[in-house]
Amino acid sequence: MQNFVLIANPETRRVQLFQQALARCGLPPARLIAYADLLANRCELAQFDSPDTIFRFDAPERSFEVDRGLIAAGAELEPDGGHQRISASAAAQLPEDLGRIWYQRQWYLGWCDRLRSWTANLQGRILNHPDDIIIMFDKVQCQQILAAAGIPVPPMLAIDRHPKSYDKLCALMDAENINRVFVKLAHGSSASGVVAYERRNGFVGGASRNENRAITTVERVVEAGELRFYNSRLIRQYRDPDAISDIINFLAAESVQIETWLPKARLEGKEFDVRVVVIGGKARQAVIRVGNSPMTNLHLGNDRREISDLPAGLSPAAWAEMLATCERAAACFPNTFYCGIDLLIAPNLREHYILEMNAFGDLLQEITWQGEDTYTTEVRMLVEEGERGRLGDWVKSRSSNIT
Amino acid sequence: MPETNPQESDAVLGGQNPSPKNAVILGGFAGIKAMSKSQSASVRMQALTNATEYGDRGIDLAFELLKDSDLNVCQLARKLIDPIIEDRANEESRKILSLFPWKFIAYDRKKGIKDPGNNAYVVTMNNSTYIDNRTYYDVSEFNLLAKDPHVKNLQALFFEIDGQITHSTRVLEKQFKTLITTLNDARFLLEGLKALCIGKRREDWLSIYQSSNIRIFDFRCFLEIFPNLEVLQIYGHYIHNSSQIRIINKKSIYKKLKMLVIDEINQEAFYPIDGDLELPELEYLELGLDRINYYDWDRYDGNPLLPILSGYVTPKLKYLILRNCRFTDELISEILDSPILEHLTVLDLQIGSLSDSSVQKILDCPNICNLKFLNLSKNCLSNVAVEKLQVLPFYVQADAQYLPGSLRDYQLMRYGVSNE
Repeated sequence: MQNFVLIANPETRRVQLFQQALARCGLPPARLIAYADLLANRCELAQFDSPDTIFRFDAPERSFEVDRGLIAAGAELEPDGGHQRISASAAAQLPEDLGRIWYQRQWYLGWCDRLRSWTANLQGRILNHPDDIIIMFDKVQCQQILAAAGIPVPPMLAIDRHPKSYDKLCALMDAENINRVFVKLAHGSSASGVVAYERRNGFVGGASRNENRAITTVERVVEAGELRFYNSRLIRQYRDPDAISDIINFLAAESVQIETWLPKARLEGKEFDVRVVVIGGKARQAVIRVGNSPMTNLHLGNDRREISDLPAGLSPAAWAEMLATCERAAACFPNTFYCGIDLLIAPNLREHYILEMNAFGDLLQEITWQGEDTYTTEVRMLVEEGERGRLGDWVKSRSSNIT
Repeated sequence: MPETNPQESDAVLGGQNPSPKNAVILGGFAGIKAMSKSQSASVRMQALTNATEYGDRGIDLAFELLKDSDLNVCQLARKLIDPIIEDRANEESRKILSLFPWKFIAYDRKKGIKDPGNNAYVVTMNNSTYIDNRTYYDVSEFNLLAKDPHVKNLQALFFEIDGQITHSTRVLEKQFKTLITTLNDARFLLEGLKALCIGKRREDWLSIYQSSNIRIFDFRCFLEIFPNLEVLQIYGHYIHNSSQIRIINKKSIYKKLKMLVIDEINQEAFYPIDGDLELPELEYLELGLDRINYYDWDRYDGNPLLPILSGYVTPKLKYLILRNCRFTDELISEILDSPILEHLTVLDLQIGSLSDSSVQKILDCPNICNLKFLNLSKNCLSNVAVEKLQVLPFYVQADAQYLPGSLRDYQLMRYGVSNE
């Protein structure tokens, strides 16, 4: 019988839902390890390790204590990086400021370092494998891997020469004759640090007009000469070039994914995309996200719809092909048991693109597949695999590969 | 005594120089007017102080001096007219309240309809019951009300929609159809209905999670069923016209409607695809714009509310409330150019994104002075901008602005990420 060890922030919904899924499958609750305890060295995973142990890392979300610890862990890493930096001791003293975007690259470096360190030499199976988690937390690297595997992704701008400033972004857009791009924090999630940027050139009333517009979750605050940036559910439109420049410059320093802003198919007059959860190599639960803005994330107040509401013009064959693409994308990460994939469907309802892959993107509340929520499907499959005494198509975690 | 005759307290003409011994004294209001043009700020302040004894003309003078170059003069003028503009704003509030004079009361079968002239009866449609694995819409409360012996006297009804929020378009359409069918079946029983409220009020307008359960496909459906409605309030959110629901196929003119509230509209509401819309008697229009997205804004070359702002749809509009707008700078720019401003007495743009860049446009707009009340609360104005707006000759409410560093409602919109 498998023993589950769940590494998470204890107060989150994910923990509750996963424990419920275990109970539903007749299993005892997972042993819960708080990220905060691991970061403070109050415990280590080796204490709970055995060949029958399944370690499930979940999103290190909604805990500033944990964020602070990960930022501190990244303090000495990549010393030549141009990102916003803070010493470990200063990071430990950071005051909580809800929604503030800061030290994102340093947070990511700390997250990678801690994940590798916590999982070194474990014998148990790890869901998902840290190497894959690390890649999926880097949108640039992740999209490059997908593109190399022939998975359709939005065209990326200048993979090997990411702009570190707004001016460079504009120059790149000029060079490639592109007027609409998405700029995304490479290590962000939940639409954090995402900017849909467009330039319009035209003539109005006989006069030439050059307009820039950035539609974004980023709230720019200027106070006492200090610039600060926050995640906000209130989608803002910035037209002032200085404001746009401030935002892009800040994000670019933390590393950004820049890709063509592609049009999406519409439902109820609004653009939508689909979050597809792939578990054990198969596309399972999925939800339509109908956007009031270019950012379709549900926590931004966007509407969700069931898959049965997909446009009638989308043929079953086309939909099956899209799900197959999601499965191929997931297969690029063979040590990943589950992931959430954001799927863009083009207005012609045939072309489609993988927008993002999320290592912890399996939280889809109230959405079921064959009567199961995502967590229940995952646990049931693991139980069945355990009963069959095999591991399935994905391989056991290779602690020896972790450096 | 003619008022031009000098009085004891009247000032002596003489500019900045001491008055000559035999100087002519220009008395009464003419003297006050002359003083108000003095180069001396203290003389202008004296003029203001004296003007209060001259009724409306004195008040008019105070309004003129609101834009005086001297801050002290402005502040005194403001102080003098504050009670007046407050009274005017309150008067408009009373007029608005008179459009909906009923008090909400839950319908109780045992008590029945007792005072239909004063009460708006509330019944609930719940969708949380499941029979045979299907959602069942419970309209039993309404059916009980429909059997009340005094139902024909009912003037105001609140059909509250409660229960679980669904995410299926098919179910949403069914829910809306159930509502429409239920009301349509009772149309002859409710011939006296003047006011209809649908949906569920949001407790917190800022909360994007507290959407009403009902989705509205076309507000005209209710007016087709009850053409005598004077008040229609819809606390639900508009979604794109459904292929399943096509009820209106003609030019729509609703001559009785005076008040229309739609909690969350979308671009479809005032651009009906199947004919023109006219609301010739509409005085009060309140819309929640949080579902108006940037696509809608672009699609209609600037503003999905253009039919309203053109004055064609609502020629008698006096009270315009446009809440939760993400494009308030763009919106107010269009309102300021709009002919409806000639008739508006109340403009309420609270909870928006209005920035300082729009303030001068507001101050420079000649028709803005027709207003009695302008509400710009919970926008993004600086203290300096709010202060500038105080020169406007009507009541301006601009409290709870979002300011960096202060704990304001906007900060409640900030979120931590899920790191997924």
